[in-house]
Amino acid sequence: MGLVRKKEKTAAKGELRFRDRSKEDLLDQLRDPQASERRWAARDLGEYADTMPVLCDCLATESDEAVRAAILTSLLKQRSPEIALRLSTLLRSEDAALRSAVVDVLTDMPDQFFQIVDPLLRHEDVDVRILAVTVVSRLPHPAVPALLLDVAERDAHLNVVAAALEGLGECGTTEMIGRVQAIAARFPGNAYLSFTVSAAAGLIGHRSC
Amino acid sequence: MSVNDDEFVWFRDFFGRKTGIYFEDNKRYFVDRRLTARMQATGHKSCLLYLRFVQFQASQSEFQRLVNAMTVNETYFFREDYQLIALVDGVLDDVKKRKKPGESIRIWSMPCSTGEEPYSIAIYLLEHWPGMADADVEIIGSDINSAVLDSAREGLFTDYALRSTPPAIVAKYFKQVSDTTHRLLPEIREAITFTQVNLSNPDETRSYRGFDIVFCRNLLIYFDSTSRREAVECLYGALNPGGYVFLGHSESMSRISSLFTISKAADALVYQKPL
Amino acid sequence: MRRILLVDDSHTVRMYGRSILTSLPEVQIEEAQNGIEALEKTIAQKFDLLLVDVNMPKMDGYTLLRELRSRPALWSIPAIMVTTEDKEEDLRRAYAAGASFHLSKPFDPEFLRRSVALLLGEGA
Repeated sequence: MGLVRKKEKTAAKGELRFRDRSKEDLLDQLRDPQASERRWAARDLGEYADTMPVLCDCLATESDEAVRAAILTSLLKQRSPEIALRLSTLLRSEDAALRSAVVDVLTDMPDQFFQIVDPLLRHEDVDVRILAVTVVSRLPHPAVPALLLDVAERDAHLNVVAAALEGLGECGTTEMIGRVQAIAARFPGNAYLSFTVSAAAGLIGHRSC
Repeated sequence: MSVNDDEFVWFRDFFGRKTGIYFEDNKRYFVDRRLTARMQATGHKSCLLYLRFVQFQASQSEFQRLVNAMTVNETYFFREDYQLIALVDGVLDDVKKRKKPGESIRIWSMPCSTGEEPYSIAIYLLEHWPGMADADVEIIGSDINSAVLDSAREGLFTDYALRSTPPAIVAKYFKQVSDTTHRLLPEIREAITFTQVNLSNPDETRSYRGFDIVFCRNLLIYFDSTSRREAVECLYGALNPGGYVFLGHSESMSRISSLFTISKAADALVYQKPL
Repeated sequence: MRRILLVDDSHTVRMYGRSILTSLPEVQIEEAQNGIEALEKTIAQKFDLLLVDVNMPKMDGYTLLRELRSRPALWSIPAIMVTTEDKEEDLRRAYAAGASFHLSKPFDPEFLRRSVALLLGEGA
């Protein structure tokens, strides 16, 4: 009783199997009824870049949050524009938790996301455009401010414009202030938009002091 | 001997890739000082040449020394003791009731640095947890830094490390070996297992499983977002269902992961792997 | 003193909400950037009302509401869900998750004030 020293490790069932499992075994394990088994499979499949399509497909139907996270971590490890593209299709999902998880991972692969961002910013679904703007706003990429300004000047939907302005508040440059202020005229009399425009212009101005 | 901006960026990316630990610009002074010290120790006049040396050395012993130099953290006994209170005030009892006869309660202190944290946990449980009388508790301390682990095994601590420790506890668990240093009693020293591990490397952490409690304080904040994901996956996999994670006082899962259930134990926010 | 928690990943939206609600008497306003932070704050201290966005990183609004409704200490806190548009599907989901009320973005200031006052028990 009391403090005991670490006993000699007896390998857990999953661990013994790890050494013996082939890629095919892992793909089977990805369909196991037990979430913990699926999770280990998702973790280990990160090593195999050619399993990317299977992992992406599983994502759409996997209901366990921990398995989903493991799949996303593996996809992030493999990261490619193709993966970013496939993940971006999930931005349309009805599952808010999945959308949120996908946004988080896309933010972690900025270079790959940037290569596929244009069609997303023009997507017919307003929510997809807003989510795309959200991700763009967090990317450390020199083309971001111009991209956001373009969305703010062009997009027809107030909430998309507001999201772009929010991003500009964080990364816009002083030369943009005039154009930012002009955006208020796109939705005249809208209290929220004028608030957002002043906030963005204010933050940009503040940074150049 | 100095480090220019390009060299700092090079180092930061290289070190970040290998360890998951990512130094922000505001750590520049910290990094430069330690880099130049290592350059001096290895006779390299240019940072670029030093970094190439580190990268290609077969034994990787200099890389380990570099890691050791970059990862020293402030620590002392019974730091953030509100979490130890939470342990004995509900968390451990909750864990214990799920244990089968003969199964140990397993606690992982990661990073453990020079040992203050795992030793504090051990002493606190012996002093304050009644459940200790009929439970086996196994404590493992791990760190990426090999030098601090050696120091932890030695069990020698200064007055400074013990500044928040009641004198009665010092008298009970330590033997004074000089004016300002104390050695922890062998019964406690030998009860803790110390191991070296890189939390953001899944190959190294794979065998760390079956833990009921993990203390992972003030480590995740140093990781970049990809390595942090990896580290959280490791922590999740390391825990038994219903197992608990304690983060540092100023840290929160809100910037990290939604995998853990949040609850309150005494004055602490604790994170639990779902049952 | 009634404590309101604004939960939205957008700094501007939180500021906007704050600017509208500070005119209400005896209110103290706090903010959270996502569902996890909101949950941590509501576990640590008492709030009288939450204003919750749907799409947030780390934990979305529906998940937050479901978490709140599953906890005995928190299940009865009034929560207004903020939706992008009034799609019927989204509203159904919001109320199924446990919303007390909904508003669409961007808020009409007067409507927001009145809804909050109503849920805080002050009447119209």
